Amino acid sequence: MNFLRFFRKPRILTISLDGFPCSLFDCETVRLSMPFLSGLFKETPPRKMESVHPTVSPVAWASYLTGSHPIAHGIHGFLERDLKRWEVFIPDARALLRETLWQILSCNTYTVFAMNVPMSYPPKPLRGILVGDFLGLDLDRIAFPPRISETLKSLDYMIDADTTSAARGDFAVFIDHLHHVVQRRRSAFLKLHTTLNWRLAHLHIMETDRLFHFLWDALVTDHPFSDAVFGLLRRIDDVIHEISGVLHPDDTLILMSDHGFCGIRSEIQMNAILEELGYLKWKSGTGTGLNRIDPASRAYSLIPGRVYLNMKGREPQGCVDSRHYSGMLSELSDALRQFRIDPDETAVLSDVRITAGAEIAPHPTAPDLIAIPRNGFDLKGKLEPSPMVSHSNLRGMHTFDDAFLWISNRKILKDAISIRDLFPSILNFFGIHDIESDGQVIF
Amino acid sequence: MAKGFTVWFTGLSGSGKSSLANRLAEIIKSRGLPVEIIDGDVIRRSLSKGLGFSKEDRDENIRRVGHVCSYLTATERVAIAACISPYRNIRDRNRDLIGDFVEVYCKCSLDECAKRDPKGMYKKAFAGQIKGFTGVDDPYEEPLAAEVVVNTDSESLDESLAKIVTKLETMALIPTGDTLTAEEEQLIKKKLADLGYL
Repeated sequence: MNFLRFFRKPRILTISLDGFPCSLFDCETVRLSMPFLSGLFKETPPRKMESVHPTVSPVAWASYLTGSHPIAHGIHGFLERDLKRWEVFIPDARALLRETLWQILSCNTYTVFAMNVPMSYPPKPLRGILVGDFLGLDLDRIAFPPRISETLKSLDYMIDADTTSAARGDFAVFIDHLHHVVQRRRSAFLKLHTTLNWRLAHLHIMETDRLFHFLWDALVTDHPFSDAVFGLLRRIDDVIHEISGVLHPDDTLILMSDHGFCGIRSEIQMNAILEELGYLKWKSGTGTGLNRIDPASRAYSLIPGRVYLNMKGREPQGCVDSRHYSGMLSELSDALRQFRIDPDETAVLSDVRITAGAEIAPHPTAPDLIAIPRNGFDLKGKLEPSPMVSHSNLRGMHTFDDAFLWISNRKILKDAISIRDLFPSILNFFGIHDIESDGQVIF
Repeated sequence: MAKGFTVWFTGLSGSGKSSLANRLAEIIKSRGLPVEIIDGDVIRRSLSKGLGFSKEDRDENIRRVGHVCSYLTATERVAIAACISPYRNIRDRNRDLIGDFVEVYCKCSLDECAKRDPKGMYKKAFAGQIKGFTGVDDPYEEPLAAEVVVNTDSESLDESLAKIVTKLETMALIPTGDTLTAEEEQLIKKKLADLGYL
């Protein structure tokens, strides 16, 4: 058998836990609930990794898949503007402007198997198998090649958890449902991975993000559902243990998340802040979405913290002249940085960044400013008059600097690491070196 | 309306050009673009009837196919040519003529093509019953910079097709996959709203 090792080509298996914070491994109850990961991390602790701004999964995973900044890959959030129709839409994998890691590997004759990674629906053709993410709802259309759908159906594969139960506060049903989704993803992965000779496989577990949004407080405080939440983490740990068992000792296991999580202190409507600062007015009447914005408005926001000036020539009803663009950007950034809900309170935003290149001229599609909240202030972007501060049944929000990365058999070569670094690093592992990227090789 | 373009399949007889061309045409059609296949064998029996297999006649045949593709491309249609087109020079001249040109090289070893021998031609060529057969006693000049190289002796048809479709998507020549229905979009929006993203 040892002889065969000389012919075995090295593989990478990535298992990602959406939104799992690095700092959560400091919690003893979490470590006890996840004995497999705790064992791995005892010798080599996971490293903190930076996500992206805005810190939401589609932007983070688009950055992972293309190794580039949002301005290059074109994904800035869950919602995007259609400037011709003046409507918002949900961008999916078709909106990616750069080739993905998987496409590049496929074109270089490497076989890829990826399951449930955000920004993978609709599944683009590749050499291997791609099962798309939760933006797909139909098993018949979730996979490439399409014949894989039959296998998924036979396994009762579930694309995503139903969040309706959580939204109405029925957490017992919600957690039970998350268990089913995790279990079926596990079964589908274990079945499908044997059908091809993959070199890169990636299983994404979205259920952690779903859990943390609704039950973050059950992790960090005494809560009626704490046991159930830690029980789900144990299930996920079991699945990681079982799936990583498909690797040979010479293969590489990457464990990672795309962003961190923290508790929500308040939900903050950015458009209400812009209204209070005098930059935004709502039309009276019943218009919806972007059409609710009064044409005299100078700025507006889309979730989370994306701020656009209402530019003449870019926005269909823009009123800001390009001569005033730079001055207004600077003035608005200062006003936002200093903004406090209460004069005695801390500022809502930790920073306001001008999008790269936007200090010179407005980008046709990217936001002009990115407002970065302090942990605890969850920025929202309702396109209608709303109270500035509110509280909903959501308990957790995303954080930028607390994603994690752990790699077996490899030393991470850099101190500050970004999710973008995985793209050139994985390509480098497979001997592909000349692909443009904003990331750096880290292993 | 998307602009027209030509996908030019080249490779030895039996390398999979026609199979890939037909499958690709189905995909392009399903994405709403008008598409025409110009198959080398069909052209030989019609537009190029009477031409032989000397280098001059082969070049003339490919030149004619190039003009058909050029016309289709200029009229905003997708032309898919599947011809052995063994000589680099005339392929490159067609590239210059057509402009929006995607060359797909169906790379397959002579042994594998001869093993497949779908038309029984290799058998005759090796028996000396056909002279000047590409790959046997007439050269095939590989492309130097094809947009896509598909290794049809080691890849499945699906894998090769995936490479081509991905390249056409990346070059923004064809729209990507299918779209959400209005009902599905509402369900997604509901989920995003539940999660606080809307």
